[in-house]
Amino acid sequence: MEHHANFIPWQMLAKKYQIELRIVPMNKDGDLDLTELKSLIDHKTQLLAVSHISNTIGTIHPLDEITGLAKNKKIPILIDAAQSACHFEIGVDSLNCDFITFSGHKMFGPFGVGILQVSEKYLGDMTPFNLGGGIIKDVQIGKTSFLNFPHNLDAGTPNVSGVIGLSAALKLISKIGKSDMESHLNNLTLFALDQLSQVPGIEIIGNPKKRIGIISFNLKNIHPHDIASFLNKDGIALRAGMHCTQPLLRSLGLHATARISFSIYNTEKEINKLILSLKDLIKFWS
Amino acid sequence: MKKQKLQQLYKNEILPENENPYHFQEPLEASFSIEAYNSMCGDKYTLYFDTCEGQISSVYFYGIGCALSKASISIMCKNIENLNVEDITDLSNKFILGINPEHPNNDSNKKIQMLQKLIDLDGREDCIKLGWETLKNHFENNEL
Repeated sequence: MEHHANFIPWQMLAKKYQIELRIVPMNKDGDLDLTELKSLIDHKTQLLAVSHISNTIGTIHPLDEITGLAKNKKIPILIDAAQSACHFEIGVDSLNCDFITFSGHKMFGPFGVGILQVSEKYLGDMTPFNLGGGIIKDVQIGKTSFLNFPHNLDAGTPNVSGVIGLSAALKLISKIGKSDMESHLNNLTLFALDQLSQVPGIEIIGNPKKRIGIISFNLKNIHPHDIASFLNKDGIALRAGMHCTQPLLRSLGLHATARISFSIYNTEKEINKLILSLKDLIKFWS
Repeated sequence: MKKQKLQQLYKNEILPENENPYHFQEPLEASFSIEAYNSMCGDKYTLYFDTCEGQISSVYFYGIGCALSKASISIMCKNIENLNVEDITDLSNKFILGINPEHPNNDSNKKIQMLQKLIDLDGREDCIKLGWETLKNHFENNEL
């Protein structure tokens, strides 16, 4: 279910330290199998990592339930909030987790900058993952000591412009209001699902219990990349491909999908335009 | 490229090739096979080769991908039968080089010319080149 960014690092760690990596399966609707999750968590479990929202299907995972399961067994939890940080109130306290990560470019910020929030409980465990200037407290020939978190994680020349850009993006989001943004995205998602269901030959990928902002689909006999090229000519930008979720697509027996995702600037009028464009393409292709 | 031009190209060139691709099947036997895979988008084909007296006597291909990658590989397969390794490497090199507008290629084959002009089709260069890159990489390092 996870984006490669929340999968490959664990896979590599598992290989390096000979740790067992357990994958929670999902059902055909695109919901995580929580019964299976319960059976996968035991006294050996060192960390539970899960996204808040699936970047391919748009599933909003039931974090209350998931974090509850982990907390009961005193397992630290990491939440990949890349898809939710822009329009959901997040934080290690409000989401009852230990680590939160998200990236700037999904919330009107620049590329190459993001945030890792760590709960107080684990601050002391955060040691440098790469080394260089800017993270040092004291260096002697025989030993080095480091600044405290978060300053010990930002070795080398800092990405100053990126951080300033992200700060400006966060101020903008705060000004607009996340609650209004979530409401707008929710309305657009429901409207789009209703309209898309009327497109002949469309297969909407997944039918999760809760979803927002992201819808993957396929059209009969038209490859997602060809869909993207034609819609591009109508001024509609969507992504085609595997969306950095190859295991997810394989589990659904798919090779690629077309994916639409919404933001605060999108409108119902644009969704109507999308539907017309898809119908036009289907007519042309036949 | 305007939408009308895109539609024309697809209607006249890409879709006929996509709907009736050359040798699009898995043969029962082949001298060897290679995989053409674009990990960024998921397009994946297997190219099957038969050889005879230092030449590729026939090529088949099978797999999944967009209309553009399938059409391009179909045209490629038609053009490499009865060629030796040197000719195939030369053809694939020229094709890939010709995709770059700074290195226009005057290939006499109209279908190949058409494919190379698709470079104007924003962001689809990898689809057009997939089979050709696979061919080039293989035959630059392997003999028959």
